[in-house]
Amino acid sequence: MTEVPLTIREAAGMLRGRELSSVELTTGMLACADRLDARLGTYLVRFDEQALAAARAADAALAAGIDHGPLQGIPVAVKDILAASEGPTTAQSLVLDPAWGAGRDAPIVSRLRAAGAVITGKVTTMEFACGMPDPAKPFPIPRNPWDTGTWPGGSSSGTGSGIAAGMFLAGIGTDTGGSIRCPAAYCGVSGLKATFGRVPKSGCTPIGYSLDHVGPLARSAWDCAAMLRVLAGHHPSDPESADVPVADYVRALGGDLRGVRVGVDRVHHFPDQADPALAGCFEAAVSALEQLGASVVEVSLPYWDEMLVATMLTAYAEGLAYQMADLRTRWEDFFAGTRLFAARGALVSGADYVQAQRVRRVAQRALQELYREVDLVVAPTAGTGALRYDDHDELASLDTLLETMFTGYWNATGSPALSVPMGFTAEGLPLSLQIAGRPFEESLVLNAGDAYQGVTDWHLRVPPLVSEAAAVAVRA
Amino acid sequence: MSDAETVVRTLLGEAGLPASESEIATLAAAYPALKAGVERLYAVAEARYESPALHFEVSPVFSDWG
Repeated sequence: MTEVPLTIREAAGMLRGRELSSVELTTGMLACADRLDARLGTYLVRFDEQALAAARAADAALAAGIDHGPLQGIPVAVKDILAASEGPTTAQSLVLDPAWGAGRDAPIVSRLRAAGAVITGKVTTMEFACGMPDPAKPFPIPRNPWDTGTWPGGSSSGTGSGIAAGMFLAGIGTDTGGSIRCPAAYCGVSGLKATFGRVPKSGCTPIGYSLDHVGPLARSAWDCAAMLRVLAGHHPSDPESADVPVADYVRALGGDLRGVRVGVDRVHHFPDQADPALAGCFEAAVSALEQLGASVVEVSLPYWDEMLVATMLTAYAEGLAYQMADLRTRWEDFFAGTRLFAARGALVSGADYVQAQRVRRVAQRALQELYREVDLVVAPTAGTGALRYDDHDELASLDTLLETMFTGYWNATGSPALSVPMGFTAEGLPLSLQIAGRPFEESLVLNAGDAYQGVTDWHLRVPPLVSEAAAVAVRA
Repeated sequence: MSDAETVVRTLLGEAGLPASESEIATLAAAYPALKAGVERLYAVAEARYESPALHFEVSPVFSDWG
């Protein structure tokens, strides 16, 4: 059989060149899931029958000359806090009413189907996309293909691990404080949190109404651009959905970064507990951007500490409002981490919440000033490689995670931010570069990521576990 | 009982959240940092006359999804 491609871009070319069919591609990726999912905890439910039917339809359409674009015939998974008509949404929780969203597609799932994507199933998250994994609950513990003793990140855990493992080529994640970019970073793939409102979030269970973003993960920035082209656009069912024209993000890619001013924030991203390899990988990435033509400017992101506080305070308060009734009556049914997350919302006042929203405006104003001097800001996505589970499959606390995850700032400000792989720790765990830009300037952000990936191959590295499992399958 | 534990126990009780003793202890240990973060927001002088990032529509469009 033809080797399974790593990226949407490669697969789309092979499908159109008749080197590969969507049925072959989908079958191969489902077989990969057969080999690895018991070790990785990626899927909550698979839609094999429906996926293969969609793959056959995609092949037939291409054969008839009907081309819906690069997602046609591409296996894509959906985080299980978004509704898909094949089955109930669990939010990986005992609490969510199975009738919620039953038989319906979230708008972005409908858009994927219309583009010819093959929905392979629903994948793991943290409960309601917050808290931490809980081994006491009857759901898979998601594991990182680079080291199964580590966490793939969250809350879009299964989306990240499944792409890195080759179970699907792209997936949908959500991001309230970093839940797309954290698993992208830990799993060595790419992930885009677009501008707040760019992608409609109706049909998705909320955490923080003013912080939640739906968006793509895939191996490359090019693939994220192809996904965003389909996902983006106003939808009247989401009150925060932005009615702003959608660019052809793929067509906007290409080439160097001449004339692009890149702000580099070294001030807030290198804590004492940072991995020893982080600084070297980051400096090499900045150097690559310079060689592509970018001019580099030292910056310090304004109101950094305040925005991290505002993000978490807002998420606690908005999350508690959403869950309050169930928390009062079904406390023990929630994950331990979800309980502690939401309970913090009871420890802040209404005035505190409003003050957080006032300071968000202050920071947005200051960031607008900064963006007069630079076009993009780059920094590490996280200070370390993937966090390690202990012997009981438990992680350190949420506070420990927050000390080394540099993503929440961009949720509070709503700006687009892309995470791309930039190297490895000495232990072989991925490290990641974060590229942020002005609101609705996803094209520039994606172009920088694509240009960087044109001169590096970190995003194409495959975990040894995956190669070994594939080799065993071939020998069998 | 520390001041933080008293505050946390009271606020959780008022909210009707049946946290366990160990959960109350965990939240109480984190409370001083949470409170310090909140105070940091009130210390932003530039926010004195700023409006919040909240948006109220007087005539919203209600549209279902799916």
